[in-house]
Amino acid sequence: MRVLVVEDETTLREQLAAQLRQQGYAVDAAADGPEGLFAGSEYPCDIGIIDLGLPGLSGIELIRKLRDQGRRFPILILTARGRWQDKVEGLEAGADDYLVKPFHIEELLARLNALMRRDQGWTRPVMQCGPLQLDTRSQLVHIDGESVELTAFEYKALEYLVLHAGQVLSKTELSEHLYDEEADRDSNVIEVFIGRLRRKLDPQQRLQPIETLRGRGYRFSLDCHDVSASNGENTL
Amino acid sequence: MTMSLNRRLLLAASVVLAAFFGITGLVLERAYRHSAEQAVFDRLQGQVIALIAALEQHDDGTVYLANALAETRFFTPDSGLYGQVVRNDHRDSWRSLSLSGDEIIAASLARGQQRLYQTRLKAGLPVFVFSLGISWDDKAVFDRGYTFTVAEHRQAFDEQIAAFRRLLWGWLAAVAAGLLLVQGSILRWGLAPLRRVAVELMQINNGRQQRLQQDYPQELRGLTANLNALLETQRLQLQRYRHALGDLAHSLKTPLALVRGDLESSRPQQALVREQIDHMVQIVDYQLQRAAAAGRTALATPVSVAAVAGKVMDALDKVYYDKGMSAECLVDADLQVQVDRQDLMELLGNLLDNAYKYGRHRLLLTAEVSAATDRSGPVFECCVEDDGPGIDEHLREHVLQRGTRIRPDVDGRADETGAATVGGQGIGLAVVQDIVAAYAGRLSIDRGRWQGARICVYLPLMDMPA
Repeated sequence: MRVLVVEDETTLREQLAAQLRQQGYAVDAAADGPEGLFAGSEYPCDIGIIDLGLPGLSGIELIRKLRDQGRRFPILILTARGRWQDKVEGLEAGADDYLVKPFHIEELLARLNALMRRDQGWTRPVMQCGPLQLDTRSQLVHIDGESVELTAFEYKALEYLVLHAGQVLSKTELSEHLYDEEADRDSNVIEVFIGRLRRKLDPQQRLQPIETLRGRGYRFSLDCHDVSASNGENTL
Repeated sequence: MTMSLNRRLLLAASVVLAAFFGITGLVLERAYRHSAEQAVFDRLQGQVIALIAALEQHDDGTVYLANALAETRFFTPDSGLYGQVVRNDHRDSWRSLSLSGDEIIAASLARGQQRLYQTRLKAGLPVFVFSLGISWDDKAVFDRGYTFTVAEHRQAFDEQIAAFRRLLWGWLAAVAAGLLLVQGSILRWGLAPLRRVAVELMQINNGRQQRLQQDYPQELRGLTANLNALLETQRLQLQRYRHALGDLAHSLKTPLALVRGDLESSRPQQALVREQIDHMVQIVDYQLQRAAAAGRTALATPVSVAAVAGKVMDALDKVYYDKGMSAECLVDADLQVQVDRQDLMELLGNLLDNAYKYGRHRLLLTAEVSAATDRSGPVFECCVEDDGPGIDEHLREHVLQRGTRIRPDVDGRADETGAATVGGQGIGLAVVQDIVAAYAGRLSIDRGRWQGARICVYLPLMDMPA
């Protein structure tokens, strides 16, 4: 899951990038508008976090430019002033949600999750794929009610596969969305990684959730649908 | 620098007066000169007739003075009146003594011909001349005809014209000066209220008074009323900022003290620090938002409620996309209110955000302006209701209390069970309430048609001074 962070304040940007990486995201960080525009246009981002008060090119203009270029990934805006004028302007320009600074990282992650799901057409937070259940809020994976231990990166990769369930994802595409520009991207790495994920999810090889299509890539082959959270909470 | 009003008006009046009196003077002078010239020629004609009556012709055709002339100036040298009779063949002539050897240059005229003109005597004296050609019928044999000429020195005429001119321009100048003086005083009197405004503004500047107090003429009332409204808005804004700043500083001290105490303790608790930071963030947000409300002013440009509401609802539709709320906006597309645009957006943003947050499936926004009555001006009424759990009666008072007593959640949306509490309503409603207060308005909470929360605001609008 690849996220673009455009924030001019160095401390906050680095903090944010570190926390997102810790959550298994691949992060492209940009310090100003033009840099953000370059990254947003060139890299296959899955989601963007854009500060409204940017030097060089304001956040609003940046969003407008990205949208004009046909970039459709969901965008979350960060605004320092909680004024509705700013929020409305940002959403009007093409952003999908806002967050007022300062914020809790949990809140940001929840918003990112919701936006990612929504972007792929899922409205509810829990995905049920046969016996496999993936809760995007608690980031927990269960198979037949048994919890599966995954690292943050493995979870993100699985989430990406589940959100794109039924679609063929090439190795390049997958590695582009799972690793950022700085990472060493080798097709072997992805093969090894998918192998490890398969062993964790399906040690007996009876489910075979991740299908290999020779020469084309991978496909998450279980049928998925979104459900309300299992603990009886209200849905969003 | 721009010319003062006084100077402009005086300058314009002076130019008009100068043009008017200048043209009048020229016309009068010309008319007078014309009639004076006419009078001179009439007189000269009379003298010629008298001369003809006094002169007789000898049988040989020469002329002589047969009868005495009444006009004695003919016999006084250089008297200014000159007579001359010349036979047209220049064989005979008679000249008055007053010419003393000089001569009037005059062309010979046939019988019945006459000429009026100005010329000079041979010696150079400027004169008016009247010549008449005559002949004596009964002595036709010798008769070649005579030209009778009378001339009068111009000096008297010129003096008369000069005297008239002095009188005319003197009077015109006096009248013009008088008119300007009157005009100046009218201006002074007419512009006095403006000077009073300036003086009062100076007083306000010096802090001696807070508003324009004097009674002003109707034409200025729009200006002074708006100035007062502006001053009042400014004053209230300043007051709000001062209060907000004071409240802010004051309310930050407690959490800061707690954080410091915790850090200095032997076992710092991260949770406490975190909680206090959240609290401080809320305080800062809230105080800044409430201070920023523009408040009621007569100068606000009218804004379209439907347009602002549409923008806010579009934005919220995106944010609460997953909920799939059906949001209805019952606002006349033409409805415009004189409320600061930012305030209106803040108001609708907070009210609608709560409705999207707590409503289950739908919400409704209504807005209208009630007509002015004898007791009050027009009132902007705006209600937002949803089909959520509503706000319990015993909590309403609590919610309506001003200030930060209610500890709002950081964000109600993250809290999916938050609908049961009023927490999330806190900061949004508190901001709404402060905007309402800035407009001297009113806020009400009850249950709407779906038994959910219905929150209405009533903002009295300003009547524009006529």
